[in-house]
Amino acid sequence: MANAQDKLMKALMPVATWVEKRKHLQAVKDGMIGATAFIIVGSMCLIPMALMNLIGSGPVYDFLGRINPFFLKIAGFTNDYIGLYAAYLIARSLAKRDEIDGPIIGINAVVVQLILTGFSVDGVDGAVATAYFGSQGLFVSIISGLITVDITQLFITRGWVIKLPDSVPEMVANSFSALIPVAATCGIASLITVVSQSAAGQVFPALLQTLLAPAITSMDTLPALLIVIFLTQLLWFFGLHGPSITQAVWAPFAIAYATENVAAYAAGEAATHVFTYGFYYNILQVTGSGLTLALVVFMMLSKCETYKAVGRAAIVPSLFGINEPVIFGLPIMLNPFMFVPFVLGPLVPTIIAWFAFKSGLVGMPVAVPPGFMPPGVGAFLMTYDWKAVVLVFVLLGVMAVFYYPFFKAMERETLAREKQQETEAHEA
Amino acid sequence: MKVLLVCAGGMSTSIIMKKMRDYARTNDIDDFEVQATGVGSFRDVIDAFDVVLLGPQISYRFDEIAGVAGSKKPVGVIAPTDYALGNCQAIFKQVESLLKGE
Repeated sequence: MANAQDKLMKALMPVATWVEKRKHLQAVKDGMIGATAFIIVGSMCLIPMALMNLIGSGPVYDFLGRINPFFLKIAGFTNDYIGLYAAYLIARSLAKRDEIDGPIIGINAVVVQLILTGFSVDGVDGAVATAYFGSQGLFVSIISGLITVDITQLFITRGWVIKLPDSVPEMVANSFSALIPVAATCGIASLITVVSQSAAGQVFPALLQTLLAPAITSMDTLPALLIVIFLTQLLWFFGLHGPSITQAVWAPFAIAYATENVAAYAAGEAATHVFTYGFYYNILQVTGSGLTLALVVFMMLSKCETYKAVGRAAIVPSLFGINEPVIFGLPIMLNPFMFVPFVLGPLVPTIIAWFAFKSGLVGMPVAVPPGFMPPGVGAFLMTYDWKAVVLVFVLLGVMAVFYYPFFKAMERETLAREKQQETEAHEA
Repeated sequence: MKVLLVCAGGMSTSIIMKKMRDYARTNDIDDFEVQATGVGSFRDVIDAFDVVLLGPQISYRFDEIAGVAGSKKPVGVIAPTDYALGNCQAIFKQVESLLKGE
């Protein structure tokens, strides 16, 4: 068993390191996650509207109706413009890794994004169609953010920048050295826009959606989810931060799905995506990867002193979705007793949750709540459906059933070992 | 000594951070500062710190973070059990030996 674990570990570490070294993947991940701050605020500003939907009429309804515009304005300029903000954040994240970071390159990415996704409105002078500024433009922001930095980096390394003499003040020199990369990136963006419309007959954001459609749809499926959860759990089993590593692949999609759902909800349409960022953290991984709350409770009630101590240290963080104390403390990590319930077990809640949402039993994720909320709270804020809270506790219960026999077996062995050590100490 | 704790989101290390601050206070350790940060934003703050400690779950990023820290700033990985239980005694010992250059 130890040999198999060793082999697996040796195989996993280089993969994890390889994913981490793909700086473009990491930049997109960091940028998108940074953007969630705005998505969360925008989404929470739809709460008055959600309450109005729930209540339907009456004095509270009227009051909410009066304050709603205040909140809708915020929701409108966060979620519906998220493409612009994501482009900025992705660009700066990559620029930081390339050590060419600065505000100019961030704004440059926003300009590129505007060129690629902003279109004039027929007959209205000065108006810009914002259809592609929100979730519809998120995949374009990935391109805007990355090519802005890659092109700038290329120009800098090749020396294709205006270099002023050292006597010129730094601020002036910087703005001059930015000129050629800015012009180049904007020129390329404009070219893409023109070519897309003339050669492919579609505006670039729509063209990109068509090209990426298979990838975009295939991520929001049960098989994809099962693979993601399995890898997350397996990585944790080896003491590596599963979500952090796997996020590089699925987080941009999950965030884009969430943004689309919020936009649909705001427009009164049906939300279509299950695998949102919130779904992962508030349902599939509530109380931490592997839904370990029950395990922590078992530890607190254990006859074994070490388990009791770790359980007590782990309970409060667990309630907020942080379970490193259990993973490293029990430990779950590299613990043969925990392999089946921790790595394979969570696949069952994943299947249950998927069908619960897909079948309409539980409302779709229509909001993006802040992270690290106690079990059930996040799920409710995400769906405005009390059945989501019930689902969370059902899933925690399912995992409790999985953890119990394995924990008890482990406890028996530990207690027996401790007893033997005691008797040996007495005899000595 | 200024210690920077790095984990995935800055969450689990903030638990350690609080424990270390309490430990420093009860044991009269002056000249001690600690901050917890996530692996996405450590670059922004690393310059202000003398030593960097990583949560074991991001040990695979050691090379990258050590590269950014440079040869003058020691970087270490906290042992899993010390991390889980917030064993400040062990962690402080680790900080001291890292600063001594061991």
